[in-house]
Amino acid sequence: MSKAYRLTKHAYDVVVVGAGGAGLRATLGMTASGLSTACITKVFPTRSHTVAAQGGMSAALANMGEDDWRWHMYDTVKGSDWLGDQDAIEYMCREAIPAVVELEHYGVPFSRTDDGRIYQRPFGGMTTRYGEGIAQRTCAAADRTGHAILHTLYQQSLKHNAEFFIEYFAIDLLMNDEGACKGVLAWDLATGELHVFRAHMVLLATGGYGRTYFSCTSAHTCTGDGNAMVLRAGLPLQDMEFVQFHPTGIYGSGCLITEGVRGEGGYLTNSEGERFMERYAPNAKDLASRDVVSRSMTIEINEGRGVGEEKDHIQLHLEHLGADLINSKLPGIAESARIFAGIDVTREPIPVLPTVHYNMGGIPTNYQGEVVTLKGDDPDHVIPGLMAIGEAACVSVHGANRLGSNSLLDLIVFGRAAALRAVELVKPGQAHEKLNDAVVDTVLDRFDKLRHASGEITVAHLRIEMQKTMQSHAAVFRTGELIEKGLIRLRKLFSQMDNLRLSDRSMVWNTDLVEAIELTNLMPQAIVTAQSALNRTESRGAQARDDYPERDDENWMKHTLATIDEQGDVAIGYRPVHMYTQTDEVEVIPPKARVY
Amino acid sequence: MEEKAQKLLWRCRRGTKELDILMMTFLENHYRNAEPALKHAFENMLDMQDPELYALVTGTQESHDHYINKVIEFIRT
Repeated sequence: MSKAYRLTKHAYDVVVVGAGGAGLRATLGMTASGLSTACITKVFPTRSHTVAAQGGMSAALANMGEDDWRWHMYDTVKGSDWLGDQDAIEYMCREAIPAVVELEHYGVPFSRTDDGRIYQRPFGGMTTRYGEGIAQRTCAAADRTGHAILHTLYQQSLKHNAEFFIEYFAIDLLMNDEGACKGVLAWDLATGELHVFRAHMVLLATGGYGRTYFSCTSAHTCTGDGNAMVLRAGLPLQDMEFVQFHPTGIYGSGCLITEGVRGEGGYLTNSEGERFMERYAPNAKDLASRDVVSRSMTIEINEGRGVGEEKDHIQLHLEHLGADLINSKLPGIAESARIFAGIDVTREPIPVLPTVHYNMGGIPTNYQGEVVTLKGDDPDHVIPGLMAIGEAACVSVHGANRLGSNSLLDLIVFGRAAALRAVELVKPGQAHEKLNDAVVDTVLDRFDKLRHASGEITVAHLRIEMQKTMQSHAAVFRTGELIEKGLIRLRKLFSQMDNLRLSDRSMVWNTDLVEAIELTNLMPQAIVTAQSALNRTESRGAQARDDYPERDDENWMKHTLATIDEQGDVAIGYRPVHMYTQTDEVEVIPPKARVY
Repeated sequence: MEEKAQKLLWRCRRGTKELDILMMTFLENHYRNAEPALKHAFENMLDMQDPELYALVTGTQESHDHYINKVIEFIRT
């Protein structure tokens, strides 16, 4: 097979896949330490989805009042509903402080106080003194934090001679017979050429997989390509059942309507015009927490009281607030609703539904970014040559539920940690051992088969069927019966990937083929997510099982590991939650009820 | 679709969902029949940074470029 495709070969010390916040921070760290570093990315670095992270980045700098990284750790463990690994959370919260200071030195223009220190604002779930007060812990660069971080890290990486391969699509990992990662095969979309990148360490920084669902806030590019590569290598993904939803994404587009709308008096109704939140949360009503509102909306839809032709969404009303209040208190909302829903908020309700916002699950790693798996009795067996960071990884610091402003922090701290570890493990300029031709051939075979697929089903059709199935059967409201039905449907869709039809056989800018590969990446992640959700018979954090409404620490304080075979069959294993800390500067935080 | 249009389609992949949708809307509905100056303006917009582009298409900032403003008019209606 390799004879049919001409391969351009590259040899680097390290290769990073993905140029969002995590990938760029790692790239910078490694290239600045003298490792030859390539960064492969399917979109231009400053167009990575990190751009959408406007909120900020948490760190207990104590610039605005008392703060302590141990309080930050407590908040994160509690937010994770005790599924987060406490050694990793300790590391993240302690290292947050130097990580922010470093970013500032690199040139990120953080907003400042009058006396010139980094300004910090409060954010949901961030407290002082173990839940007593409200912490001001979140650093931001106006409303462009994500973009500012990307821009700064990209410029710094270029300055240190990192090599970027932009608009290159990574197809698969090159794993040798001993199960070590030896490189990656990528496709240059602009020239159509295929490239073999050899590396002593491959870092996956490929982001989340929001696009498995019909309604997600993530950009089109968020297809979890690295997660899928790991599954194809026969390795597990961890805690994939934990998917964070935002209650009010605009129906059809997934664009976010901020929670501030309900804070200003906006309310939700069903097809009968009923303000149903009064039934589910008699006190807080429409201001109940994200997960409660999302679940109530989903129950209304499932019980036939959704609105629209397919009775599959809910209405968010602002009309009663009047144009003046809307324009003064909620700037941008009227414009968003006009552009993305085609409605005038002073006259009509906004069609909304719970929308995927973040994936807590991903590639299991230790706190240094090394990919780990369960091997025999060892739950922390390291896969040589492979690391994962950012939303693609499951370190796990977010556990069952992520706190706002901890995701940018995760990118930076673990991008930095992975770089430090890679510098320890890889000596610059070492020769690469010969790789069996069959390794590359297997990857090329899959690529070539898909490129020439001449079945009966289009990529777009199969993708929307998968997304709708995930939305209706494995989203906010979960029961065993519902998920099982969804899985039957998903397995059928999985098998239909053999019957895809592609019309474009070219190699240059073949976006049809890219989308087909992305679909083959999304589909196994969808199945693994649903199967993991079915398997976990408890409710914890973002996983709310109506048939198992309680958290069950005795049986379920453990991480799910899920692998999938070529037939789409999933195997489940477990890793223990790390209930220990790295130092004696802080004690383990024992589980208790997660109430705010 | 010809190569160039597919390249533009890829460049419509942005960092945010909102921009993905807005830029795709112009490419799919208006680009093919647009006059050359408009096509050129659209291509220039794809090279902009996302926050700048978002401010333009949602009307919080205005461009001095007549053709970019025309593209934005198409996108917003």
